[in-house]
Amino acid sequence: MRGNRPLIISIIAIVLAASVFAYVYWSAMRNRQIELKTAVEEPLAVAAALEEPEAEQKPIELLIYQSTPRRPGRPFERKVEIDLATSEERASRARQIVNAAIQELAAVIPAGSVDQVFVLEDGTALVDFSRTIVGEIRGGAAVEYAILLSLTRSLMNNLEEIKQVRFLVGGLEQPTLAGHISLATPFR
Amino acid sequence: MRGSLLLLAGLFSTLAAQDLQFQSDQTFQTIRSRQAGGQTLYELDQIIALLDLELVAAGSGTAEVRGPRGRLVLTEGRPLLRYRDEYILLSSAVRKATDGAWFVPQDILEKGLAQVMDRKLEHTSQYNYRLESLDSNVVRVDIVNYPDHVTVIFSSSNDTPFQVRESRRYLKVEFDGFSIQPQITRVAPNQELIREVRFDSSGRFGSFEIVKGSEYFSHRQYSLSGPDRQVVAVYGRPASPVIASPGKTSVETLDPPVSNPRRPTPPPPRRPSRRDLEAPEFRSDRDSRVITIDPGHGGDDVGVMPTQEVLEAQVVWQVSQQIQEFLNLTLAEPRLTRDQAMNPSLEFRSAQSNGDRSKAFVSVHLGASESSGVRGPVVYTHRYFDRRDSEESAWLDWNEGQRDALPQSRRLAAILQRKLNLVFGVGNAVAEAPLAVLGPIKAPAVMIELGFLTNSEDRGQLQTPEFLRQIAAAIASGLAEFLE
Repeated sequence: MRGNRPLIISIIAIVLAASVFAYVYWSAMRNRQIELKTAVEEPLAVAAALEEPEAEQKPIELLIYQSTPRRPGRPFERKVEIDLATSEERASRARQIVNAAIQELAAVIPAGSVDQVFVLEDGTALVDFSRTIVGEIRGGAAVEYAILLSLTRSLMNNLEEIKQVRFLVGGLEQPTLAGHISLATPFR
Repeated sequence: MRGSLLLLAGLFSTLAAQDLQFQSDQTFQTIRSRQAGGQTLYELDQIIALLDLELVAAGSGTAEVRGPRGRLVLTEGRPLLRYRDEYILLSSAVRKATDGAWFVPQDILEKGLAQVMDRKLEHTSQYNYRLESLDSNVVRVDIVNYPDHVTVIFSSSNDTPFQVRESRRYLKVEFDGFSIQPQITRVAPNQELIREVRFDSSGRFGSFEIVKGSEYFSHRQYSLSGPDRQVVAVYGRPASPVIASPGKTSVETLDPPVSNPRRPTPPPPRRPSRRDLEAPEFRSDRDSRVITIDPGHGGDDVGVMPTQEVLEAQVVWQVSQQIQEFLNLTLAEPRLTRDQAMNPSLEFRSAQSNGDRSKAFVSVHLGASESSGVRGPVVYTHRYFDRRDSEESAWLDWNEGQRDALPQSRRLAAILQRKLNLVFGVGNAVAEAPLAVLGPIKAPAVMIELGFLTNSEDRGQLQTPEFLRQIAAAIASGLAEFLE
């Protein structure tokens, strides 16, 4: 028993220290919480213009474009039906559609390439690509165009409110995605 | 014991880790991070005070951040800023607390606030920033009037990136990295081509505006004696002669000879200065034989690179040089948009073609695809998404250049596709896409992807000098057929 004394003291000290820290941390975090004027919506806000989804949920139909040996340079449309796990949540639909389309395009653009999606009241969807990931796209004009076309058509096909898509890179308007396709005007 | 202390220190440092640290001269200031609904936010008032900006309420749920270089509009609950005509998208929404204080995500610093302040904000590590005064860049502006064009020469005290953008009413000349101190010459430009050259102090560093005159048609940019002297040359419409001041007698004009009795006798030609001699020779559209060949990428941008042995930028450089050699044998005057080591901006490449009043523009690239079976050449023409864009963007005029030339571009594309298909032994069709380099070009313009580096057969052939020569010959003969 006597031999274990230092060990018992150490354990008590650690438990005490952890308790003190937990209290300090909890009070500090509480102090850092902001009391917001309005409740926080989903992290990805979508403007109120989006209508409530229909009660009977339909599967999402993505329109994915890619070059084929028979039609190089003329992207071929491939339809992919998927069910979105949380598609009943209005605010996350746009981003889920974009992320699902990016997964289908995994051969040419890595996951996590899109940082943010937002939909304006005038029906313009803003899709923001991560600047660092965009630098890794080395596919030429055909691949770049297929990526942008897939995201545009998949969003417009599933969200009636979206009339056009404007692409940003690193949060800002840029001339091109990866050196070829113009982002100067919105995609329709 | 030591372990528990380390654990404790680590946990405390985690707590403060998301606080922002700003270093300015020898002082350090901290902005505490705050939490709301799983988001890390920062109080805007504290940031504004630190950066010498102003926050003004602008209606219910809206506020403006005003700075010496402009203003940003932010809206409660939206991850969105409005800056001039542009949208800036943030990683998370801007929030407002019950006491009326605004809270913002970290990336508002670089994406938004840095645009409107007159100090340099350097992001040194994840939560650390350094604030420095902007070094000034003294830019002297000289205007030289020629009988048929006007050159505006920008001599800057710092070697800094330079960009020209075109809008409906003016050319915007921007220098990056330094706050501009303008010194504009008192020489008035030829009013029919340039109404005025003025300085716009808004924007991060300030910029110059060359306001277009009624006879403006196109411009060209180039460097004089190194990168610190940049020139923007402005040309008039091909069909309408623009004679305002006497000048070089060697320059061809569309005006009749001096026999018109109502016309005042011009003073004797002045002795050409060195600057005159450096200016490019003017060619009217009628006698232009220029064909612009644009080797894609270049410099640090190697383009498509499936293996270290084949780099897109190198292959297209070789092919473009050979096209130039073939075209030199004809009456055409081929000009390349870059040399081997350069990577000029897409705007520069397009402006060069417009300034030269090219008869045709061919941008040369290589392709890549997710499918290794995709092979062969593809010739692209430009695509517009609608009939004619509205007034919604100030820069649309620049991208509208190709619209009237599209039928001719399609004819050129069909000829080149047919010739290249024969070389590759494939039956590919012409394609169209909204290509940034083609949109502004006023001449028939195409972009060619000379095979796919992701296809083993194409990749092997594109490493053979003889095959590259065949491709160049096909393109040159296609251009000759088109111009006949």
